[in-house]
Amino acid sequence: MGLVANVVEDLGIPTICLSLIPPLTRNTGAPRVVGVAHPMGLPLGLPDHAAQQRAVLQAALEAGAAMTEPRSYTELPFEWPERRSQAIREPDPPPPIAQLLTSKPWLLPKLISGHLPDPVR
Amino acid sequence: MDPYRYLPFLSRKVMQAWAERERPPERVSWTPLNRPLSQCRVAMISTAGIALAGDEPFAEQAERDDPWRGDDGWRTVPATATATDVGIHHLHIDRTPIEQDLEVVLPARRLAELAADGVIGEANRRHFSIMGYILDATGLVTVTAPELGAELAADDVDLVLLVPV
Repeated sequence: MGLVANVVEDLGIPTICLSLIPPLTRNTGAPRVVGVAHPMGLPLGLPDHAAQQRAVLQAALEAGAAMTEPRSYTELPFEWPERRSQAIREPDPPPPIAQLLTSKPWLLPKLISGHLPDPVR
Repeated sequence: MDPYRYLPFLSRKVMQAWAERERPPERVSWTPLNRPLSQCRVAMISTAGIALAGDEPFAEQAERDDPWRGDDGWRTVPATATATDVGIHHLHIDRTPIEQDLEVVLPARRLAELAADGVIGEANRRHFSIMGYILDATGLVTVTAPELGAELAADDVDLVLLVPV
């Protein structure tokens, strides 16, 4: 996300990155990062919770617009309304890479290092 | 905040490792925001893999065939689109809540409300989506991001919000 933001900024348009994993987004060089402690898949909030979605959106825009220098970071104060066990929603079936690593766990270092196997033909 | 609190075990380990692996670049791009938010035309880029029904979906089967490579293209999402108008082509998230309410990943209606209330100047007539599972960012950086930037510039967008998933 930070990589895309950098290219767009270079083309003359300011960006704000909302982030669920701020350490990762910040390390990719995003110019303006706004962190929110929400679960994967639900960055703005729960479905049909318009007030929550709107509060997060407005806060993210206002926090980002107030930033005056590169690598700025702000953390939004919102707390997720569900217990952790409820908040983690995993896809069914699991992602292809998770299925592959379940059967071939020795490939995990490739995923972590970014040294990817050659494309499948 | 604990940024890994809501991740399942394997995802947490991978994200932590990635965050440690990434070294912040020496140079970070910066374009100042030269006008108040209340005068900005705002567009959004979601990483949820949203494609309008009728547009080419993000390539799910190609990722199933080669799990190391996700579709690194981009799609346009009209600001009027709702969950019934689009497909969510992202194999790493539970799509159920998004299929119920697209606003959880692309809050176009909420953005229009902020425009109506004068918090922002205007919501752009369209937004954009990429699919966030990209392990090799080469195409994303060299093709997709410049193309998105050109589209945003053509729309005279003043500020872009990137929304993760």
